[in-house]
Amino acid sequence: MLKKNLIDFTYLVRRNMKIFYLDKVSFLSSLITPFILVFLYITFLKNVYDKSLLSVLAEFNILSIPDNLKNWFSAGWLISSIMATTCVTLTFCGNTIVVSDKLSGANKDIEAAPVSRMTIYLSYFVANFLSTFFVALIALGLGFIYIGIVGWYLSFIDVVMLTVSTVLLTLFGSLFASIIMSFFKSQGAITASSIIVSALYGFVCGAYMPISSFSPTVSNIIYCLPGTYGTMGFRHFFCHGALDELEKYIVGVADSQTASLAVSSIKKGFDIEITAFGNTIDISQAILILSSTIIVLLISYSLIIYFKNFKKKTVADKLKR
Amino acid sequence: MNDIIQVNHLKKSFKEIKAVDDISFIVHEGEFFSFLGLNGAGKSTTINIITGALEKDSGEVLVNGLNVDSSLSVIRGEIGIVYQNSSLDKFLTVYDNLCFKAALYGYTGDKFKKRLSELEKQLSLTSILKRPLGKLSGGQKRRVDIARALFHEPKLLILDEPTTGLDPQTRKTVWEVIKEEQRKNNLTVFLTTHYMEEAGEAHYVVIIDKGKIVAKGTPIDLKNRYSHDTLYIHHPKKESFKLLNDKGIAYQEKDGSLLVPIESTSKVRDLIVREPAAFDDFELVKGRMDDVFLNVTGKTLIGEEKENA
Repeated sequence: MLKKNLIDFTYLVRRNMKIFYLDKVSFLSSLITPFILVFLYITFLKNVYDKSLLSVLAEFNILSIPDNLKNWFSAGWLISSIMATTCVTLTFCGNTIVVSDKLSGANKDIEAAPVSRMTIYLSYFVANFLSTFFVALIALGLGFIYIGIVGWYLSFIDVVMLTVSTVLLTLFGSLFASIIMSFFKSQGAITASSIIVSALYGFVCGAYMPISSFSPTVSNIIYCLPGTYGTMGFRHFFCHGALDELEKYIVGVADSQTASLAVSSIKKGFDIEITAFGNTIDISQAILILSSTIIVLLISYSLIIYFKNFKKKTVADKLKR
Repeated sequence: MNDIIQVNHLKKSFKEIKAVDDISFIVHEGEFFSFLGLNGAGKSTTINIITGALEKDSGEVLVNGLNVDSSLSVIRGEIGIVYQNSSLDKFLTVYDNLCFKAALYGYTGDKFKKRLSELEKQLSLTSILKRPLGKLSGGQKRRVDIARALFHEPKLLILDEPTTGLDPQTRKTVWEVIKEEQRKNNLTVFLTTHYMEEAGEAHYVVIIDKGKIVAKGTPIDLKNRYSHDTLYIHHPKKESFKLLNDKGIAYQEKDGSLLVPIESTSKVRDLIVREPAAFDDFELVKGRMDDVFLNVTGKTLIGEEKENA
């Protein structure tokens, strides 16, 4: 029985993943934000990042820094933005298959086979997670290549933790999308939600501009969103190597206290360190918040599946008896 | 013959609407069984209960002797279904559509390849195997639907209005394939349809209307009970009119022919033998399933309600 369930699960996951990659319109539309980010970076965002960085440093009388430090920092910030959006927006595309299967009657066809409903629902979730994760891994790989071109500054631990952050944020995105999509029954609703998420998430996660630059009220609202801490994880591990080098440079041209204050100011101004409701959140706390959210979402999603598909049947069975 | 489906006092309501209202019937193994009715008569609801897609309110459904309440998983392995609207994945190729579904029935690896090569020949799938579903014609998609339903060699094939929307040639091909499979493997075919000529081909027909069974029997039985044969006398002569008038036989003139409703074929035979001069050009037409349906339900199968005259 276990072997059959495993075979069913494997084939269903393969089916769902294949459909995810072959539905090119939905797939590409969910990558709008990362594409826009790359385009904006090439056209003007890099200059904005550089000027913002220098304006923070100017408060500490550091008027210029070497180009490689600027390039490292802006590359880290860009790639962390791309990763933060990719891991979430793609999961919405991956989840459209649940609704499109309902609309086409494919779910009825699959459920008519001798396969458990739990296997079917688990396969949707796992396929969504894996499909997004593989694309996110490719994005991460391309990011590493770009960093290699501008000058490698990441440690082995950074690389490992960036992969872990990718897993966590993709898990968060998959669960979040699964819960939202479980309430949709029409193609229009899922298309609209995918487009809204793709367009809005870039702003909400601070991909275009740092959350700290929003008004305090808006910032505090965004800090309540768990995905923010996933973005913070990417920012931290992509940028702290560059910031360490920057701190060393400032120590050389000024003093260690100025260097520490300047780097701390940059971290706060660029969402590498978040101060939510007066409390400074460090990276371990950010990971803890994201992990806890994933557990809560996992329990919520399991309950939704249970109540939507199994509870109804159990009640009907009891009534019959 | 074993009973492959036994439905006893089945009931299912959706709020106040009684979709299936206390129906009972039996389908024998190897039989071509037809469930005839208009849209909304309760055909698809019955199928959905048999396949476990829908919970029944009361009654009993046994498939191959197993109760759907307790042995659904085993039952599902013995049923193949072709839905009215194809549920194939349009982004996947024909091969992938077959592969992913067959795996759920235990057809993987060499077992899958062996069965695939059989169905490839039978349903002429070779040339379309690597093509995405979205690029196939309606008839080709239907062939894939049937291949998918037959892949795991089910004992029972359920066809939910399988030829709706297909051109006559494709309909013919679809039926040739199904009948060949039925003949070769003693497959039981459970068809829901509103096409009279398809229902008329069945071994046994059940007519359902507003959730209730209103008639059942073989097509011949139903025609004998609910319709009558008609004698057409074309180019009638004086002798024809004289004979009918003298014998007090009712007739109707239509397009230059006389239409004579008849109760007994043997009486007509005797009349023709005795008075051959009155029957130069004639034909005897058997009662039609359309007449059966009209007489039983008071409705025509094009969906319009008609009062039974």
